[in-house]
Amino acid sequence: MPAVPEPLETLAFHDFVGTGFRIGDAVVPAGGECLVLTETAEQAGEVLNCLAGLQTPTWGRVSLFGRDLGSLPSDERLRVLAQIGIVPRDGGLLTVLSASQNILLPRQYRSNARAEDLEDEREEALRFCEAVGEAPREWIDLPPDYLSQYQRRLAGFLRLMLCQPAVCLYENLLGNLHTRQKESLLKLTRQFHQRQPGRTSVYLEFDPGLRAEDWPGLVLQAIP
Amino acid sequence: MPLLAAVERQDTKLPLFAFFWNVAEYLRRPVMVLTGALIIVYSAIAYGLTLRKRVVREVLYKQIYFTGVQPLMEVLLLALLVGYLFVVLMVQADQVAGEESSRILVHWLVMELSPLACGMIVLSRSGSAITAEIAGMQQKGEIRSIQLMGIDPEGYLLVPRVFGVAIGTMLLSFWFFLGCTIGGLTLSALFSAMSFERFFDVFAGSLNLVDLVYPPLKGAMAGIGVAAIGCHHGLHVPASSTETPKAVIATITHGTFFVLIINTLMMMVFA
Repeated sequence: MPAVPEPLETLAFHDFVGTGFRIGDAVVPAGGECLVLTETAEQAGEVLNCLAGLQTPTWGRVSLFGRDLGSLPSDERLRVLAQIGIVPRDGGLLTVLSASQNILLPRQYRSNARAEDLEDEREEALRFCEAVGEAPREWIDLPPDYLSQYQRRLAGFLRLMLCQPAVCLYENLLGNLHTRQKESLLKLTRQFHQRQPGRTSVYLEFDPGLRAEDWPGLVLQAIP
Repeated sequence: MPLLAAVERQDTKLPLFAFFWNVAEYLRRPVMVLTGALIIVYSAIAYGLTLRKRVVREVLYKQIYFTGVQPLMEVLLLALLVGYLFVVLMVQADQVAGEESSRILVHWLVMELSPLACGMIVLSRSGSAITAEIAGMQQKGEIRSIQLMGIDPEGYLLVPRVFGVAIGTMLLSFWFFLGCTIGGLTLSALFSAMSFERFFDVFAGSLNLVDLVYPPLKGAMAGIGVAAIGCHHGLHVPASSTETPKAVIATITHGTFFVLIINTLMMMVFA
């Protein structure tokens, strides 16, 4: 696995207002686990878009590594995004590639490596999932259209694992899943979070399947 | 001034204004498509260095295969039939108007018909497929996913498709030329009144080195335009999945005009 980059400045909301909701001012500390609770999946998506610089908030701003990605040139924004691990809704897989090819894509793009060169890292990620009772090898070579919602999200997480990011963003990772599946995904992501001190994890959820009081880290509520 | 006031009011009840307004609206879409396609070609050239990346080259190779290799049998068959048709025309022209007319026919076959036919084949196969694929990606949020992975969509999506279709169309022009030549030579020897040697003399004497470079170049230009138009319509498709067929139809319509116009312009320039 490649060396984890030094954690930089983390995530901060500055009087953030989205379409029909408000988060206000908040700072996610380095190494923290933050749950951003929204009322709908679309609001969670909007927060992620603003974080990634793909959309401008209605008011205020949000910064990653101390920088507003929306104000950066496209090339620089993509360089910053390459340091962050993001699991979009439903895994964010490309349907023209198999799940395995999707998992390797960002690493191959950045390092220009062949799939064979990343085999060890892929194996380690698969074993990590198998250790909590998952069986990704059964479906890893299938195209995304053949996978369930849960399997696609798991594939998105495996892709994030290979990138070894300092900041992990999860968009609607837990929504519309069975309770057991939610627990499994949460267990995986939290174990991954604890593997590296200083790694920051942010969950953008509308249906996390647990109460805000039960969340161990920071909870931010999107208010209408 | 009444007309200016009518423009400011957008008074479409005024017949003359309504006429010019409708003409402007009719022309607006092709102008927007042309502008969008030019921007995509510019982006493809600007991001051309992403071809250094292995995953981008894999997409490029797949596109070249789909555009220039997969339709090989269909193109060769079509070219054989066209080649034989030209032999028949050449025999008649040779008998009626002499050798010069048959040389003109060969020249027209190689220089104009081959790239035009290949352009239309590429448009119907690759142009429509690119539009449908990118429209599907847009509607499913996959382009957003690509950006969130830190991958520039221009480099990963547009560059391999534009260059891949250009190279594939050049290949297809070559296959078509080969099929016409072999078809003409073979079928002339078997079925027509023109002997193999006579056909070969007319054919070889009609062409020079420039004539052999020009059709692939014209094919590449058509391929670039088809890919750019296909990408433009795919990227600008509205959210509903029912809009994808409309985008594909728009690609084929605008692509047909483009292929004909680029062929005409190059014919005027190089004639």
